[in-house]
Amino acid sequence: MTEVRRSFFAALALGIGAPGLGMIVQGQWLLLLPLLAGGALWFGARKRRELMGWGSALCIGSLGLAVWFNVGMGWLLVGMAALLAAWDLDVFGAQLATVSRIENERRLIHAHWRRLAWVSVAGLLLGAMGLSLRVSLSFGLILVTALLAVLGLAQVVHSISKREKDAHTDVIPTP
Amino acid sequence: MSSPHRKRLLAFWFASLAVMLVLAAALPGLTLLPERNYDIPWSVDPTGSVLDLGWLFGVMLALYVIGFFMIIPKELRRRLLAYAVVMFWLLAGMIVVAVWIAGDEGIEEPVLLLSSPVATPTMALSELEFTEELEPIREVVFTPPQHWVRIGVILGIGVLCAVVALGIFWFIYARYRPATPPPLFFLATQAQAALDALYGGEDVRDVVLRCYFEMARVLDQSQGIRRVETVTPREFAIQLTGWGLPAEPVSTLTRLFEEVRYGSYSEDDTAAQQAIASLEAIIAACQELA
Repeated sequence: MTEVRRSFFAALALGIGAPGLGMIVQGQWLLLLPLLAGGALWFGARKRRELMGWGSALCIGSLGLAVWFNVGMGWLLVGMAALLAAWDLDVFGAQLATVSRIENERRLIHAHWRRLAWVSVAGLLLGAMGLSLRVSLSFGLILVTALLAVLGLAQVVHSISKREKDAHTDVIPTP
Repeated sequence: MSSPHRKRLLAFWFASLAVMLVLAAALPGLTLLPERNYDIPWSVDPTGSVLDLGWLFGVMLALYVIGFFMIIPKELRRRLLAYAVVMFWLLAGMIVVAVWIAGDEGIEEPVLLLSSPVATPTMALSELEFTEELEPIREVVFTPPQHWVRIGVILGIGVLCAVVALGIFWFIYARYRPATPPPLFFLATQAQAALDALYGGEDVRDVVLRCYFEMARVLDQSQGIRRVETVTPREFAIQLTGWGLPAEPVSTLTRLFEEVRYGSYSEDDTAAQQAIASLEAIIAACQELA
């Protein structure tokens, strides 16, 4: 449990520190306020799950604002990946806390870390590719591409949530 | 998940990733031109012409909305909407503060074209010759916004005030509402049904799982806010002991549920005995408390 907690704190620190540094370098001190407020809310109110959501939303919103204020994209990409990892670790830790006895806890945590590391590295690479590659498309084509992306993601999320729901109903015995 | 289903899902996932990558690579090169007004001669009938692309944008907008609607899980929609509203106000506040801090320096000055080769700070203003005359400052006449804009703003502010007032009211109500008595009768009924099933020779796993879920449902209904799937075993135990039920049988029942649910259950008579003893203790405690 403590390991997950520590890794969550580390990810949150990186998720706030990296974009915060970028904002300082760019001289956008004002942007630090919502970012730090979000981080403090997330860090300080871990007993209340709904506040965690507000904290993470504030942090991610600050990153969105930072794009608009020309803060270096590298800082923001690292910050975004770290914030997502922190969110995952926070939820994972909360799930572990609900079970009184876990068999092979260490193995389970390490397996989760491995998967998370793979996903984070893949996300960083894809993000870096998206930032460095340049393709010239017309406005209409971009609009259609965005629509395809939204619909594709919607289909994936819909399938996954449907699968989870089916798995849950399989577990509950019928009276 | 079946293999073809998984393959299809993975294919969708990779295709979406590829499309997003292309989109990310294309967006920086997109140049948006400033708005321009075109004079369309009155003789030209724009109906049905190429310019009339409103329907296309409408369809695309609808598809976007459907897509986003499908992406967000049902349970999170309301919360995400609240986040979006907060983020919108945060953004608006940031813009106002940024403009306020920037002040006059942030306003772009018009560039003057001078005929003299280099204008130095020491040169007198009379030495400079302007190649073109500056336009006289036109008097800006205030024109009030259209009627629907005023109505919209007033309605928006009204709705916002109502939402804030309702939020405050709900907060106060949730904080100071009288405590409702625990539904011990329903809990005892569920425990009794489970006990009867165990005496009737039913499988211990089924009985324990069903008893747990039914009790969790009673808990949900008493609190009125959460779904059965989101109640965790530990919360379940804390809530029951908080209502005055003895800790030991409650924790035994919770442990049995975890063992059955998460796979470390060993099939022997002790589990059935423990379940029976816990259920009997819970029923007795419910009757005492009631």
